Amino acid sequence: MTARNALLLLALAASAGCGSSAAKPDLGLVSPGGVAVFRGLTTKNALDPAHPYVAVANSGRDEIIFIDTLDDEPVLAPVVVRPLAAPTLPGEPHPTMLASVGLHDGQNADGTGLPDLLVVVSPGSSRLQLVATWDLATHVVQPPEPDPLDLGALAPGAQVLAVIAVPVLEPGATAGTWQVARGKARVVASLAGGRLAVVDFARQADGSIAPSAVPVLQDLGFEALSLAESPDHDRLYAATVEEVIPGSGVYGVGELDTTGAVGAWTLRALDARVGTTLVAAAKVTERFVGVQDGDTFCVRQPGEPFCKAPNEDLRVYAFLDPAACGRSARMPCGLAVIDPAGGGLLADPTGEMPYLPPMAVPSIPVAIAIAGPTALPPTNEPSDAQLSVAGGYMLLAPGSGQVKTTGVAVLASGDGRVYMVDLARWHIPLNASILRTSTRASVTGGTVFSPSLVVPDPENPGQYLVKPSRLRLGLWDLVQWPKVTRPTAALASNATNMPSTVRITPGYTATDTWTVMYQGPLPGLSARAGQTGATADGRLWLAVQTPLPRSDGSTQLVDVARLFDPSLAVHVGDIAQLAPASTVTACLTTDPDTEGLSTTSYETRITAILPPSAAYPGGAVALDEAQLIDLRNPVASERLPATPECIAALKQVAPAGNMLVTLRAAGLVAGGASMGYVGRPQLEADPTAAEPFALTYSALAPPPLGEDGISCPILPWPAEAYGPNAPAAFTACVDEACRSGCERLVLARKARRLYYLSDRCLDTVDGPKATATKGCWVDWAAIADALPDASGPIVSFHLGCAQTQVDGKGDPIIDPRTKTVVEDVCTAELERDMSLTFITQSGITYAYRGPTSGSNAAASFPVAAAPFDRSPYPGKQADGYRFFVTYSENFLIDLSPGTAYSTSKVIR
Amino acid sequence: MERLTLSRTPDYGSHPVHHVARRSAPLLLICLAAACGSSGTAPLSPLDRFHYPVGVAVRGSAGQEQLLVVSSNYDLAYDRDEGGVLFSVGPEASPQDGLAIEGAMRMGSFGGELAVAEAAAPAGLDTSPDACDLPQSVALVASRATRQVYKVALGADGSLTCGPDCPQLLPEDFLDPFGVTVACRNARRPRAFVTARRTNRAVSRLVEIDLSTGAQRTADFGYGTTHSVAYDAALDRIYFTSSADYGSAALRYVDVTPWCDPPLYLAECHADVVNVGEFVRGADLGGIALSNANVDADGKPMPRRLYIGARLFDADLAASLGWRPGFDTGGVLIVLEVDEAQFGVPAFRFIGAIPVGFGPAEVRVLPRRPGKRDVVAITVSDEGLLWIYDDDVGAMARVFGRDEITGAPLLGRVPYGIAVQDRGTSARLYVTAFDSSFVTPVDVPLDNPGEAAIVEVADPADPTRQVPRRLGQERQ
Repeated sequence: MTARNALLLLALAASAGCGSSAAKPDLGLVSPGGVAVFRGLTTKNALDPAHPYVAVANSGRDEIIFIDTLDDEPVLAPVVVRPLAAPTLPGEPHPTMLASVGLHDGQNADGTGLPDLLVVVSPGSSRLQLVATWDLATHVVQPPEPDPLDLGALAPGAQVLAVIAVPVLEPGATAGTWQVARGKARVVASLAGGRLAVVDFARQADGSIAPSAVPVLQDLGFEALSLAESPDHDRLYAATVEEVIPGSGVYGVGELDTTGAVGAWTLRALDARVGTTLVAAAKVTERFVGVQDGDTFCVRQPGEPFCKAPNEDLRVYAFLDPAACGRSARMPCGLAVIDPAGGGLLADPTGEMPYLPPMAVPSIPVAIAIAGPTALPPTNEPSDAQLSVAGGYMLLAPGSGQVKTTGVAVLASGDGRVYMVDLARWHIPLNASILRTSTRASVTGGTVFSPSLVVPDPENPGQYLVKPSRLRLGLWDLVQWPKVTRPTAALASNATNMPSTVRITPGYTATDTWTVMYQGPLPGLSARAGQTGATADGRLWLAVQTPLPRSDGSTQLVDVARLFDPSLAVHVGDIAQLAPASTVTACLTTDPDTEGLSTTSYETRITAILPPSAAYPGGAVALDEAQLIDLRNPVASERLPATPECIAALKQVAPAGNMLVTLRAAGLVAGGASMGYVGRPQLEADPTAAEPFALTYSALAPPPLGEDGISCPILPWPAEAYGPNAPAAFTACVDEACRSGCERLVLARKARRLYYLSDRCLDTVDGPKATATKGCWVDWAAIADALPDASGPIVSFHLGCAQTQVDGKGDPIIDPRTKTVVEDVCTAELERDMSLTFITQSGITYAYRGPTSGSNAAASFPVAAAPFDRSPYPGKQADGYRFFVTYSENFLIDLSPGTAYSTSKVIR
Repeated sequence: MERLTLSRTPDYGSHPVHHVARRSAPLLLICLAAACGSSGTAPLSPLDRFHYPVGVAVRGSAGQEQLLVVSSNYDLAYDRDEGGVLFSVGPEASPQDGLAIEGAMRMGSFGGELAVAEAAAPAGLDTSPDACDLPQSVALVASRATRQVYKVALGADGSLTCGPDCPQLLPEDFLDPFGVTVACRNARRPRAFVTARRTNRAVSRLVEIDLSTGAQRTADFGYGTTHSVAYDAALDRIYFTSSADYGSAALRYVDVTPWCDPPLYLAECHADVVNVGEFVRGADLGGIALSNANVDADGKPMPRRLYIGARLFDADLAASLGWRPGFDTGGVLIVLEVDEAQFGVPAFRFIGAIPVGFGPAEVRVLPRRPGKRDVVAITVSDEGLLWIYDDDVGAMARVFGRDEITGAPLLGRVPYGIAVQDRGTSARLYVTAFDSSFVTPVDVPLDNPGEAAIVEVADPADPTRQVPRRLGQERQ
């Protein structure tokens, strides 16, 4: 302890002796930013030079404040108005980033015992500000001039985007091995302009910490948005939305081998299929897939508690660039799991997909932090000889029940929640069972609709009657099918009997409303502004686009739907409806009531899908002009064809948008309100003789290549990049083989797994399987034995149609015994807009943490998170591992995913 | 005693103070005050100084610029119907702490945002690439006290003229007009769009004004209120922010293409909405700005982005109360990417949200940087901040707050409006200080926005000392 520290200590003791107050000042947080846990010396624990504290960048007040990690109490200042606050340097306002690391030169076995390195950075700044963690009067160190920690001198104009503090490695006792250097530490800062700045620090003789060398630049070639180090400290990982190595085509995470000389670190690209925005790394042991005795981590061999030692697999976790990922993109969004040994995404352990699908996150995370197993087990640890905390496991307590795992991450997210991630099971645990009770994945309702018919009135020529439809759609109930005398009795059409006829798969099926409709509008292509014209060979084309006139007389096309894109699922034979505007006078017809000219709608079939051109940059459809009919007459058989003058007018490209367009499927079309188009089911007269309609990944994209085995020259859509010079394969994709392949790829992407289960039906929970009449064994009978890794369809069903028998007058025939109408399987053509709808729920209710309801703290926007293991400290063993999470709403939370939600503590 | 705001009455569909932040009531009362009785004996507003300035715009090139500033008469110290003032100021000619006033025009109190429609060839001033087909450049500003929009002809000499169709009365139930933007695309029918912070039926309402004919079209777009509008000239589309008592954060868009020109109703134009609250819980959307049309280093068009200032509130409490709580819990700058995607309709991707503190207000995009994403400025009124965000690196580049020595607000108390002037390699911002009643110029190097700095001049009282440039005398 320095003389100055001793004096301060005395002063503090003296002031304390003058009286005490039960009241303590609040933290005075204003827009807090970054958070870091460090060990150091403060007046709160003046005899402990390495007490653990949380440093919070109190952005709104240009300062750092300190909280004791063991009791969540602030370090007090000599005045009672506010806690101790260390102001940032002049010209460095609103600090937002913090980084800390130990120098591994303490007397304890883990190298602790002396103060850590702690630096703070303000937004837009290039300066690292060193915090005097070794000084009882904790403060930001005033640097000499010129400031050796001003990275702007090294990289003019650069600003720090991310910062991390790491140990320094030195060669070990044997060649090729590395060990942590004592008394040294390193700060790595990502700088704008695709560079890293590396600054080494060392413990000084007086116990302070100071830069030990001038900063060194390391070129990256990409902008690193987030940094993480490997647990062995020999690798650095950088998240980026850019190509990791220019020209490589690889997007994901950059891995730097940091064992070499700074400035000459070698870079390797870890392929995540799209860019990344956040990164973290850990060693975990992942659960074993395929084991039949429930949720465990490996196949247990006699005499061996585990198939492998805990926490031996290095994994990199990266949140995927939300601007590049998506359900229909090359990669779904979420937290990707990367296996550095494999150079890319972890393989799907079930073998179904070519990669482990990322863990879906219901919001966009702004920070990630990881905690490993605690040093000491909690005092209330459930007994489990195999998976003990002492053996390297840790508790996780979602609402669905406490489990043990080998690594936990938290994601501070934009929806105000801190999601906890079970790294061993590749998922965010759930608050309720996905397999059991009313919360489970299920079909929750259904209905059908048949439009009324307009027919000529036989008694009043020229007049029309509206009659109810004789047809109804339904789903075949294969359980009822063998029991009924008339097949249509097994055709489910209401909310009571439809749910059991739809097969879904937990972990694949999302919450959605599904509709099957006959000649229904294709998703996104209803009532759109469109344009027509003539192709070079004289055919009538139709495009969904809006022309905007330019002042130079040319036209710019906007709101362009990519009709050539297989995602829109336009097929040859589909129906095009167009309603020319009143300015297309040749297409006006005489209104029989007013005898005046009025607009009308026309309809025809699509004869070809046309690749993009200058006239229609999204592509177009060619129309059968011979079948173009006027829809004014409600009776189809009485409709008239369009006049040659109208067709000729449509072939003149109008300078302004001149019509409304709807494209309809030729037959039945299925889609989800969120999912969009999922296919075109067929009617089945005998469901036992046909395969059901299904949206199943493995069927669409068989392993081992999965979706990567499907070639589609249209995806990703190259039109913007190539324009009229698009590759030949792109424009040539008009034949059935190419387009059906592309559609298969589109549907396969929609059928990807969205959640990895870890639960399965168990005799101990659900009763004996052999005698079960309801519950998990029955609800999931088809896949129960394959759970938790079962794959299956998003939805699957057998579609049917019933047709009411009518008497000579056309009235329904009633069965006198059952008092119900007599139906047969449909023989008549279906009626347009006949539909069937059912609803699915995913059963996924993600577990999270946040401020407790009694804290009167709003959970709006968490900003940063830092882990801390409290278990080794006396009396704190039960607290286990913690995360400190700052919220922009002027507080931070001390929370643990290993304990109940109610144990979260708001500090402010 | 004269009331500044109406109390809640059964006629109101929305709580009149739901946008009032805990620490910004004075400023945001602008957005709430209405229907105050006219005071025939109130003095006329002064024409030699700003009085609670809000909207601001700048036109012309460096050295020849004309600064337009709206004085709001927020405290009704002057006549309600003529207490506001639109000023035309020559910033270069203005003395420190003073104004070189070129023109001034009285208007109704509680003026809001300011927009300028540049005619094709305004004499003596640079023209905008999206010039309007108008005989003369005009400034547009709404008065919430009188429910009027002023279309003010701008003379090259700085004169301001309220012509025969100025002011224009807005529809009777279009209360609290506030945001205004101009939509001129390739000299097509010049229009202005005006938002309403309040309507009798609590609907998100816009008024389109044909600047050539004065014809109005009004449209409702669902429950809530409207705040600010951004116009995309490339697609002839407007985006506008709105909010509702129960906490939805609706970002809406309308394609105002020739397809939906009159005689169609505005509501028949293609429009849709996205709830930004799904990305940032408890977001209450305010100022909005659209990125510049740009291409990346490979010549590929960059997707456009929207930058939105959003106050944050306690969404859980809002759910319990049934409407937005009257206090904020924070503020963020939200970045959304607009992807036209396969269907040719906008799909919004959430890029990020950056905490900025309490009271985010106006957002402006700085001039285009070839091959790079934009620099964005946002005022944070409650905390007296101006943030400069560099979207190319996805991080804040600079923040202006308080003087490190004195703690005095560098940009004055309650910074609000921002005007942007393109100076080639840099941009000059003009920031109004609502409560201090002056304007501060800030220079932002476009290639290095982290070097942004308040323009300084020699202190008139001590020429050896540099002090921040101030246009207008500080209101004490």
